Amino acid sequence: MNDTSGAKKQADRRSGVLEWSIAAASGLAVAVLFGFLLFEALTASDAPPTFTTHPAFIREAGGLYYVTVTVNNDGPKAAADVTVTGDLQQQTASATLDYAPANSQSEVTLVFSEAVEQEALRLRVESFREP
Amino acid sequence: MADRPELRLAISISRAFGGALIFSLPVLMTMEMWDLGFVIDRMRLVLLLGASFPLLMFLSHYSGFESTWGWQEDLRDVAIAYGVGIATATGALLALGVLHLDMNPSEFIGKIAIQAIPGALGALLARSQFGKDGKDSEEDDTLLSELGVMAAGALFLSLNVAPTEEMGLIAYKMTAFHTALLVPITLVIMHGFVYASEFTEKDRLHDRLSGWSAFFKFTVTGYALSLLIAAYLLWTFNQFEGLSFDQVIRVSIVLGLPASIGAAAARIIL
Repeated sequence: MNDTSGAKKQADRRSGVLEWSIAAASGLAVAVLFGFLLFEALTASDAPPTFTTHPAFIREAGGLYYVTVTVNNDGPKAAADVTVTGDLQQQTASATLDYAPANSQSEVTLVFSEAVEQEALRLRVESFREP
Repeated sequence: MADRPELRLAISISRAFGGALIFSLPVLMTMEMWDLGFVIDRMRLVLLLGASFPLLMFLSHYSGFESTWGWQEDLRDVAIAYGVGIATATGALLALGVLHLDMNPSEFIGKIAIQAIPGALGALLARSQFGKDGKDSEEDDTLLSELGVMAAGALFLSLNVAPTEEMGLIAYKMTAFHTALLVPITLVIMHGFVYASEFTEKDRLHDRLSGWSAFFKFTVTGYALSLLIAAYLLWTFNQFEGLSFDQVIRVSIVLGLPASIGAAAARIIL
């Protein structure tokens, strides 16, 4: 009897250590998460979103030209309803991003029926709003 | 078999994951919650994380799994609950294609942090609900503990809908008359739950409280608490942005409906 109760006590201790280890790992994860967010909260800047756009690649299929555009929000704030417009000689195409998070990169595709030459394509962010 | 402590631990952790999934899947699959991950004001997110801690500590103490006996064990259980919440949110959002490993860390962490809170709440409740050895929380039903239980219930039902666009939309659709009517309707439904819980705890409550005192002590207090929680969640989730004062009240009363039903039901369930 003594033997089994000793073994049980040992198993209890092992699982106790295991449980505390899981708790410690969890606590660490929470601390990292919390610390990161707190750091961000305290260092938050009020600068508005700032955009740069450039064509990532152009492909042609079925007589249409698909221009994939990379949109970078280099500002520290997110923007919503970001409209990206591309102008060629005769055509204009635009696409809207629901959101562009702070310091992030998103992609939109503009479609033209006239041949696209990279030098002739003028890209810009037309509008956005604060989320 | 169930006597083996490792097995018991594994079962209780699995339960925690189950609870976290049940509690947080609706929000994990809500678009507004993904966007909030980077849109939400960081101070409000930090505050939400901070505010969830005492509530989880209370819940762990009140209906703690394996009848907790001290604050260290509560702290340990709460830490595990947070860990399970974080793991559940990360896993689910990765699986659903919402999170990408090449996302910038701010967005990545924000998305997980906001979803970890409902997950942690679910994890803690599941560990306590299924693993309860008898009713261990009967003896100290103070008003404060009643309020804590109601707060958890209010969160349970209102967190899922609080971030959605429908809150503002419903408030727009409702006239002032609708809103005014929703208050007594909510109170009547709440009192139904309070009354029902008096039957299940007849011996303890029914003798002490007449109908009216139960109405004021639980229903009215619970409603006020639910409205506060609803307003707090709406503020946290940016839902008050640009609203006038009367619209703020209106949206709070709309979210107050699920919050207060959750609060009243929690007194029976927890």
